[in-house]
Parts: sequence; C-alpha cells; structure tokens
Amino acid sequence: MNKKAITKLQAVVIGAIIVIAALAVSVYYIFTKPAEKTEIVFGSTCALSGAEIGISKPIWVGQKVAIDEINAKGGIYVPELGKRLPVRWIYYDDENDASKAALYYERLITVEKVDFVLSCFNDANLLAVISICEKYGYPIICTGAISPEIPKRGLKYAFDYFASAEHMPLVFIDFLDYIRKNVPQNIAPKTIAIMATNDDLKYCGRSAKEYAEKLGFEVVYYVEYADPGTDDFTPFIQEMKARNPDVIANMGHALDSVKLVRQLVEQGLSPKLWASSIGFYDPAFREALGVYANETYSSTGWGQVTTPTEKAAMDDIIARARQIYEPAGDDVLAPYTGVMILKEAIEAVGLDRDKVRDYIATHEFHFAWVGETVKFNEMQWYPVKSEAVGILINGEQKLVYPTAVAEVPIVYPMTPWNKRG
Amino acid sequence: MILFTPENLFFFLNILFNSLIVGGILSTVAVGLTLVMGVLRILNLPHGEILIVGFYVSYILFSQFGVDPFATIPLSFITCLLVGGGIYYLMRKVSARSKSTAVGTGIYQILYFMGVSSLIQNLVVILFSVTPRSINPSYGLNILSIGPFGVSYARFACFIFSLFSLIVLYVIFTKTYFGVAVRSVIEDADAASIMGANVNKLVGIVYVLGCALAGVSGSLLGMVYIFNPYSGMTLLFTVISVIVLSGMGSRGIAGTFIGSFIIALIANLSNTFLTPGLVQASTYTLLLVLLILFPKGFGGGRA
Amino acid sequence: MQVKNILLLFLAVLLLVPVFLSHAPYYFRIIIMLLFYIALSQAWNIVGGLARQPFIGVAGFLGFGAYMTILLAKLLLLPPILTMWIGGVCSLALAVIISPILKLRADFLAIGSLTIPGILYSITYNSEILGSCNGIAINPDILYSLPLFYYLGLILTGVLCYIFYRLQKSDFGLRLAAIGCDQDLAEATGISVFSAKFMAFLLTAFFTGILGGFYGYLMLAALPDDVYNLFWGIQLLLICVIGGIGTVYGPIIGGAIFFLASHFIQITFVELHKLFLGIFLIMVVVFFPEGIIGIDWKKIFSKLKG
Repeated sequence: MNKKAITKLQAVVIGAIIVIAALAVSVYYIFTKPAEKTEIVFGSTCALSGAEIGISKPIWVGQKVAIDEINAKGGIYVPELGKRLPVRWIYYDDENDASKAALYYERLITVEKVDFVLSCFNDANLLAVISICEKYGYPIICTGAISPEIPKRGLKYAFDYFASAEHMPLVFIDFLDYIRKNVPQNIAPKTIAIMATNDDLKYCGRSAKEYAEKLGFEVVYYVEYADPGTDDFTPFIQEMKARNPDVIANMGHALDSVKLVRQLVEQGLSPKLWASSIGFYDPAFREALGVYANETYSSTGWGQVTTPTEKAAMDDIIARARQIYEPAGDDVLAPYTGVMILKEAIEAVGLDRDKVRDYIATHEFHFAWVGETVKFNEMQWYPVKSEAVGILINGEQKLVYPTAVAEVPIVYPMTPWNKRG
Repeated sequence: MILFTPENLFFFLNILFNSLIVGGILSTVAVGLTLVMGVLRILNLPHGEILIVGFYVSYILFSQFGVDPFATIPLSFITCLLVGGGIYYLMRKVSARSKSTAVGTGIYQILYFMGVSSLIQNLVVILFSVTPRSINPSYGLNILSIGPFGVSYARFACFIFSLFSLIVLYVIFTKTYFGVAVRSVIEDADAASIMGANVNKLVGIVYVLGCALAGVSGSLLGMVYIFNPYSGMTLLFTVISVIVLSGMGSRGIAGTFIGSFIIALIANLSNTFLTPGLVQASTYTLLLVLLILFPKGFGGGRA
Repeated sequence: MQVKNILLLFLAVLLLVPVFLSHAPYYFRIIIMLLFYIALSQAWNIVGGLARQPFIGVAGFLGFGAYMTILLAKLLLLPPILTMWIGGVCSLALAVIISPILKLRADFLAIGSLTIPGILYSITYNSEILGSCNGIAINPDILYSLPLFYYLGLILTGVLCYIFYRLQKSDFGLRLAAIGCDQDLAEATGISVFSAKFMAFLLTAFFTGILGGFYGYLMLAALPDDVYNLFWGIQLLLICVIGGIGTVYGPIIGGAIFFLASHFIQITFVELHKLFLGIFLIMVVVFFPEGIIGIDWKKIFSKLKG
C-alpha cells in the first residue's frame, strides 16, 4: 500500500512551503496600507446558477439597474470627501446555499473590504448573512425574504424591506369582499379553498385563511402540500369538488401551479375565481398554459403606486430591468429601492457605517416610484404590502382593484375551463 | 371515507384512474432508464439530463419554427442517440482504466456520470438560459373523455407512448435474437465473447437506444411539465423508485408500468390520508423498505 | 531523526496557525472548512474507501447530527460543543436502525442511501419544532471563536486519520479491504461480511454525526437544503478519488485540492464555475482514476526532460 511514501526531501519541501506561506500571509496583513479612496465598493451574492434563479435573479437585476443608474450620474456623493465616487459592485454566486452565502459575505467584508453590502435572496441565506453583517457592523437592507424571521431576530444592523408573507394575501381577500358586495347574491363568492406549498408560502396561506374567516368567508378547504414532491393533485381536487368552493387560491410556485391548472382542467373543476400568487408573475406559467392562464388573479401592486407619475417612475424601472433580464417584473422594485435607500443614507451622512445604519433606522424616505413614505418600524421592518390585485388578460398583467388604479374591468365569474380554447 | 357511497366510490375510482395516468407519465420518464438499468445494470445518472436535451430540441423546433411537437420526435431521438454515443465512448475509457487498476467500477462510474450531468446542465444553461420552458400546442389540454373521467391529450399521449414502448422493448428483449444476445452478454461477459458476441458493441447499442428513448420522453413530457435546465435530477429521483420497484432484467421492463402505477397510487393515498407535506417521506420510505426486502427489485426475486 | 524534526516543525506550524490568521477571519474560516472536509472525507473513507461501499447518502448522518446537536443545545440549554457528541450518538442510533440497507450492493446501495437524506429532509420540512424550511438556529450569543473551531477541527481530523491508519493495518481493515475487492470471495473465505460492513458503517455514521454537529455549530444553524443536500456524498466521493481512494492521505490531499481549487474557481469564474466542475469531474475520472497518487511522476518528469 505505501509504495509511494513521502521521502525526507519531499517532507522538507512541503514543510518549507507551508511555513513560507504562513509568513507571507501575516506580512501582507501587517504591512498593507489603505489606498486613497477612488470608488465605493458594494458587495453581495445572488443565486446565479441553480433552479431558483428564476425568482432570485430579479433581486440581482434590481440591484444592477440601481447601480447602473447611479454610475450613469457619476456615482454617489460622499460629503466628507466633497465629491462623487463611482460604485464598484462585487458579487458572487451563492448557489442558493446559506453556508456559501455566509462565507462569501465574510470574504467581501474582510478580504475585499467592501464599504457596504447589498442583500442576497432567500430567507435561509439572509438569516445566515445577517449574523455575519451584525458581527462586523455592516448595515444590510434585506430585500429577499418573505418570512417574519428576520425582523424577529432583532439584530441592530439588519433591515427588512420586502414583501411579507403574512401581508401578501390581505388585499386579495379585500378584493373578494368587494366582489361579494357588488354582484348578485346568487353568484357572490362565499366559500374559498386555499392551497399553499409548505415552505414559507404557508405563512401566506395561513394569513389568508385567518383574514378570510375574519371577513366572514368560509374556508372550505385548506391544504399545505409538499413542493417539490406533488405531481398529482387528484386527491386535493377531488376534495374540492366535493365542497364546491367559489374561489380557489393557490399560494404556490409556477411549476406546481401549472400542474394544478392542467389537472383542474382535466378533472373539470372550474371555480368562479382562480388565483395563483407566483404563477401570475412567472412568464413560464403563461407560456405553458396559453388560454388557461387567462383570468388568473393575484395580489400585486408592490410598488404601492397610486398616481400616474408614480406608476410612470415604476414602469421606467421595470423597463430598464427587462432590458437586462427579460422576465423581470415588479419584483425588481424592492432591491432597487434597497440600493437607493443606501445611496440616500451615504449622501446624507457619509461612509461611516454606524451613521448610515442610524440614518436608515430613523429617516423617512420618499421615492418617486413608491406611493407611501418608507419608514422602518421599531423592528426595522418595512413590509412591502401588496396594495392591488391584478389579472392576467391575454398574457398581460393588468390591475383590477382598487377601482382607482384599475386598468381593466373585473372578470367574475371566470370563464369555465371547458369553454376556452 | 370508509363507507362505499357512490361519492366515495367515484372518489377512489378517480384516484385509481389518475394514478394510472400519472403512472403512465412516470413510465414515460422511466422508459429509457429502465432499458439501460434493467438490461445493462448501469445506473444511468445523466438520464434526466438527456431527457432535458430531448425536450429542448423539441422546444426549439416548436417555438422557433412552429413544428408540431410530435413531428419533432425523430430529431430529438437522433440528437439523444448521438449524445448517448458520446457518453458511452468516454465511459468505455473510464471502465477500461478502472478495471485495470482493480478498483470498484461503481464508484468511478458514479463520478463520471455526475460530471456528465453537470456538463450537460451547464451547456444547456449557456445555450438556453435558465428560464423554465414548456411546449404548449393548442390541442395539448383538449380533454379526452374516458367514461366519467377526463384526461388531457398531452398526458394521454405520454401514457400511450410509455405503454407502447415498454411492450415493444419487452418483446425485443425476450423474443428476438438480438435481445437474447444482449441479455446473455450481461449474464456472463466472458462466455459471451468467446461465443463471438461483440460485447462492447451490444452494450453500446442498448445504451444509446436508452438515451434516444429518453430524448423522446423529453419531447412528450414537455407538454405535461415545465422544465428548466436543472429539472433532470428531480426527474431522475422521481423514477428511481419506479426502476427499483420494477426490478431488473426483462421482467423489469414489464414491471415498470405496474411499478409506476403503484408509486403514483402510494403518493396519492399519502396525500389523501397523511399530511400532504410528507408525500416525499412516504414514497422514499417505501422505496427503502422495498429495496431492503427485494434487493434485486420486485420483478427479480430476492437476493 | 531528521524526519521527526521536520514533522515536529510541521506540527508546530499547524498549532500556531491561529496566531497568523486571527486578523483574517475569512481565510481562517477557509482553513477550518478545509479541515472539516478532510475529516468528513476521512470518516467516509472508512465505509466508502476501505470497504468500497458506495454509501453516498452520508448527508443523512451529517444533517441528523447537526439537527440533533442544535436541538439538544436549545432544549437542554447545553453548549453545542458538548451536544455535538450526543449528535454523534444519535447518528449512530440512526445507522443501527437503517443498517439493513447494507445488504444492498453497489448501485442499489447508492440509490438506497440517497433515500435517507430525502426522508429526513421531508420530515424536517414538515416539522415546526425543527424550523421547517428555515431550519433551526443557535443563539448567536454563545461561545464562538474561530481558534476554537480550528483546534477542534484539527483534533477531529487527527483522530480520524489516526483511526483510519490503524484500521488499515489491522485485521479488521484487511477484512474490509477484502470485502471491498470482492464481497462474494470474501464471504467464501469465511469472513463475516455483514458484521464487518456494519462496524465500518457505524464508525462512519458516528463521526459523520459529530462532524455534523461541528458544522451546525460553525454555521450557527442547520438548514435542510444545506445539510441534507445530496451533493455532500458526491463531494466526499470525489475528494477521496482525487486523493487516492482507500488511503489515509487520500482525503487530505484530495480535500486540499478539491476544496481550494473549487473555491478559487468560484471566485474567479463567477458565472461558469459549475461548468468547470463538470469538466473537472470527467477529466479526473477518465484520466486520473487512481487520484493524484496514481500519477506516475517519474514518467512525467522524464518526458519533460527529454
């Protein structure tokens, strides 16, 4: 077995290499001097490969649109230096792996010595990353997690600016209430079936159930199904058929939403209204279902726009995002805003990270593309609420509620599956 | 649930019917793999990726050139035939080397296949980006009524394809000279080559055929599922249970259809009676238990 | 005499690393992860390298150890550095429960082993106590120092290498090697195959569980997508093969090459690194199945010379 044992010479050489390497590293750290500042460096990671890239890349895209815009104007103004500095952005692929994300952030902070960090995507990754940021005193505005875990941690340097799972369905239930009050009683929606995946979207499902019951709807069927793992929705569809719900709401991902719709069509269950939270956003959903994707509803309106100017600003951002990544939608707004919050803070108080952190925590932000004042609450959380309900009509996303922003009329009841195509 | 009222009866019959259809879909995914694993005893890990390649070929033809999905099948067959050929050629080198160093072939093949999978995945990402895609012909969701049950054309097509291919493969490998030759080669490679059979060539033919069938599966399944470049692994896992359950050898080919049905049925029953979230745990546990009880697969008897 | 001095110098450098790296936490962390990978590969080497059982579902033990460590730390209010060992025992118990899987051969063992992390993943996802999809976290206020992890990792690596080294030379190790070469032949010569595999399996499971606890402690959390990821098994297999499977220095060299190389590639080729991994895997298996050790350096040198 040991035909190739290490000879004495090899052992000496290996030992010498290790000693020299260790010395070189220490010398580097003791003797390097900071250079004069010519740029501001941001660092972050994103899932640039892997299956989750469809929902995580828009975060990266939103950040890129913001940084490109900043650099087009010459960069960020730094008060203590009296001039604008361009932004350099270093990013790595965390492959949606929390341990990789944490390691990269540590690298960005300690090796590349970035000035500030931006958010990555996904609850699990962010939970790991905010610990690192807290340790080094780097404020981070999380624009990628829907679960309430992050604000609950109560970390000083972590802020949360993103859609909240618990808030997502509220406007949709309000919308159902609105329909209930404005259509003839014999077709008004009274019963709801909710199907949620058992990852973070289940908080969305539970919140929907609670609020719907509060408003007097009857939730006749509620299930949290496994994703991935569920290919056949037959048992669920059978149960729903027996209970005949007026509304079926699916808080799931695009793939299972497509499977669900196809099976609803096959088994002949046409509710009066159908909603799919992520199916609405994902172009693959529309591509796969064709005419069957029409009249799908969802909570939307993340931009919380109420006036035409706000909508124009929002549309402009989304248009620029689409040039980088075609399927981008209003999911790029939160990360875009995250970068802009940081920019404003730096321009107000400079590059000191603690001052920036304090500024973000206390200041009220006003942005042209956000309808409300942005202020982080005492948990350093600003849940981006969905304020509108949208519908897919002829492959396009249009707003239907509230009436003030409606672009197309409400379609109720839905055209039954077998009457389409 | 226990009382056999007409409603409950229909409930169960519908579950049975849909399990049959879903079983057909699973069989479609499994067809190429069951051939390679069943006859050649090679666990073809890139199977899912080859399936995806077939899918993308059809997708491009359908979406860019408007070719009907069924008409794209010959081209995806040929493409995956070639891909399989390439993989097989290098695989020969892997086995040759590992045999010469008297190291277990299993380990090297596993690594090699993982490398191939990764390579195909990333080439597909470069060529087609990661956006999920699906083939959506206008007739795809038209409903075919079978009694009180309905099934879409797309799913029915997969069902028919898998049934048909499995029957044909079974006949080939039990009744024809070629099929018997291949099986004898697997039984005893040394004896077979003494008898004049070109071992490598026979194994190669079966292997590339398995890959080509996987490509056809991909084209058909594109109408049922949405795929992205990373869907291959998920697909592989879905059908491993089927392959193991159905067993090896010629009986394995026949068993694939039944195995798929059972797996689909178990998943459905799990979703009905257990916490729906545990469907994966139950199917995997079933697989594990079956493996331990029948190490050579259901159709192949005990170890 | 001289070799002994050099080894002592080497040992001294190893022990003093924290002194050099205390101001570079990122690099320090990389070295700790490297030790972790080496230890983990060495643990796997027992059942996968010596006995040649392709049990690639090792993520099951890793994850189970991690979860148990953190869960017990939270419930019993003990520091993870203690519950880590209990995590190892829990993995051991799990191994005993699933030991019938050892009846399987080759590919079937590989597939069957992959169901273990799959089942645990599914159960974890549905369990609120275990944090469901977000995993469970350790309170960040506990004792957390990189030198601690470094020395702990060094001890674990050292212990595992020593165990492997002694195993290899022992009768038990010979039996395992015989099983690895040709199981039927080994059985025919009277070796009790199942009990030997069983012992090796338990050893691997125990240490993998402990290392799982180490990992959970290092990450301050156990996340199902991370610890039950099937890729762990492939990684460990690859490391052992690169370094030389079934040898004591295989995991060390393989771990160093694979871990450092893949890290370097990921930093340099941000977008295409997975492609390189695929190519790398294929090249290793096609051209270097015996690993680095198998390369005939003399032949290469003589070719270069003339």
